[in-house]
Amino acid sequence: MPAPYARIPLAFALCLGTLSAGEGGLQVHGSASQSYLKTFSHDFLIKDSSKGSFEFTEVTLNVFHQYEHLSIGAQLLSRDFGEEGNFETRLDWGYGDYKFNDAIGVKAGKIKLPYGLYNEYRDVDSSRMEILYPQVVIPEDYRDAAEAYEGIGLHGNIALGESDLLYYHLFWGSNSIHDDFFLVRQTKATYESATTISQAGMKMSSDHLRGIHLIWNMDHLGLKLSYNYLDYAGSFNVNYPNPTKTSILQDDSALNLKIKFHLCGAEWTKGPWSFSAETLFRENDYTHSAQAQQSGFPAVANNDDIKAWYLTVRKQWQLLGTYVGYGEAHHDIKPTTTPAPADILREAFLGVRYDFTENVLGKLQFNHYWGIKGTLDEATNPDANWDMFTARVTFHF
Amino acid sequence: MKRGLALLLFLGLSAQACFGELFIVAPKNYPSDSISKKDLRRLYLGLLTYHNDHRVTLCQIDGDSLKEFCDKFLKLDVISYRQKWYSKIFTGKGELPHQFKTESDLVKFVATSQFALGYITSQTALCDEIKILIVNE
Repeated sequence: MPAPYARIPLAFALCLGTLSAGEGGLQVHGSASQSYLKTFSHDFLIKDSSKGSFEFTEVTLNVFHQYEHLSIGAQLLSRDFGEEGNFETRLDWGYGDYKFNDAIGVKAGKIKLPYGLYNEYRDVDSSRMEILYPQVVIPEDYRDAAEAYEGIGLHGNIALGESDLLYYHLFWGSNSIHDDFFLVRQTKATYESATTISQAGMKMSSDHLRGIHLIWNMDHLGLKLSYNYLDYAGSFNVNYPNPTKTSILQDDSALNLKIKFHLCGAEWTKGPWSFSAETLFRENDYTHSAQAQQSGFPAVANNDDIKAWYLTVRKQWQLLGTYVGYGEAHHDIKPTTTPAPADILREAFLGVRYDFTENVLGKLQFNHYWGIKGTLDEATNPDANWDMFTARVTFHF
Repeated sequence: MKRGLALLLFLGLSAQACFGELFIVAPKNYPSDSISKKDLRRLYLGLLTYHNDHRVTLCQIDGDSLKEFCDKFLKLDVISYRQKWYSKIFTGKGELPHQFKTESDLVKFVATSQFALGYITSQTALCDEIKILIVNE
């Protein structure tokens, strides 16, 4: 559940809605999308996806009000994504933003997390051509953890010379990770099977999530360059029996995670064409508590740093948008060794978006993968060539 | 006489004030008589929200005039323009430009707002409470 203070902007925004509705100052927007996801050979992202699944639905509703310097708003998100969400309505974002001018603003609340060029817009299907961003850099199953930060941010646009703008966003806070996040479910299942304990209590909590996002906007060239640094620290909290299995022990740091992300990206737009590329370097540092090691908590290798990149080319043809791209993720990067083939995932994708009306759009996407890293059945299925097909219809207002 | 002078002044300005058939309009008391094409583009793409130290309320009319506005000032197609705004309104980063069905509705709104900007294609919608901004390259 979100931190209690994250609800404050939502409550305030809803009150604002009651007071201001009908005066023209309050903006209310929403969206609903239904997707179909089918994988061939492997299960990926959604359990039993190889059978085809409609368990990929999103509904959002937001309210927003703008004053001279202050803006305030919130968005509710109800989502079903396989075993995640199950239509529970959650606060997607909700914050107040005070701008002294375009160069300096302060925002506080639950704020979409800057993670590369596109993560902040991941819930906004109408803002992009793709159904799913490249999974090698922006994995859909990590969305719950990458959704937002709860804290404070300093942001603004600084003019660089006559034609360029530098956008900056510094942020400090934490984030809420739900119990149905795939990593929690997966770790819990592994722990339970390794220890024959059923109903092990397991939660993931965050100590801090902070970082900086810079975008150099060369508007006259249609080019933007982005750099993003994130520093995350959190832990798995576990309830497990003591060695004699006579009592339950609480371990708030069974597994401590310290993760640093560096993302560099570029987007170039020329008329109807758009080219974007991003690289990710993810540095992981994991430590287990002594209790966790004794109890059979799943060992996580402390060397699975990740390097990944992708390139996407898009073209808009009137109401039809088309795109094609390629990307790679290399896991277990070590300074002295070459990654094993099993630790590399390669992805090629293409798709279309068609805007039927201003409010209704449809999308189709096809992905081909080389590699099994990240599939739900990677331990049992060695097939390294497999495909994924997704279709989506979105309504928004 | 006054009307004739105003018309002459207006016709004199209109060569600079409009791009093709588009006129950028603001309320009479708007703190500036001109705007650069660069600032106009940044405002309508949501990159900036202030002009002359005031938060600007943006107005637009859908249809052909929006297409023309996007072509001439933003160098974008309408779909891409909308996509940029959707990314803002669904993340709390800005409010959608106020949308009007007719130019006279837009003019009425701009005339009663302190820091509104909009565009029109027809001079017949003009009224005394608004002015046409000169757009500098």
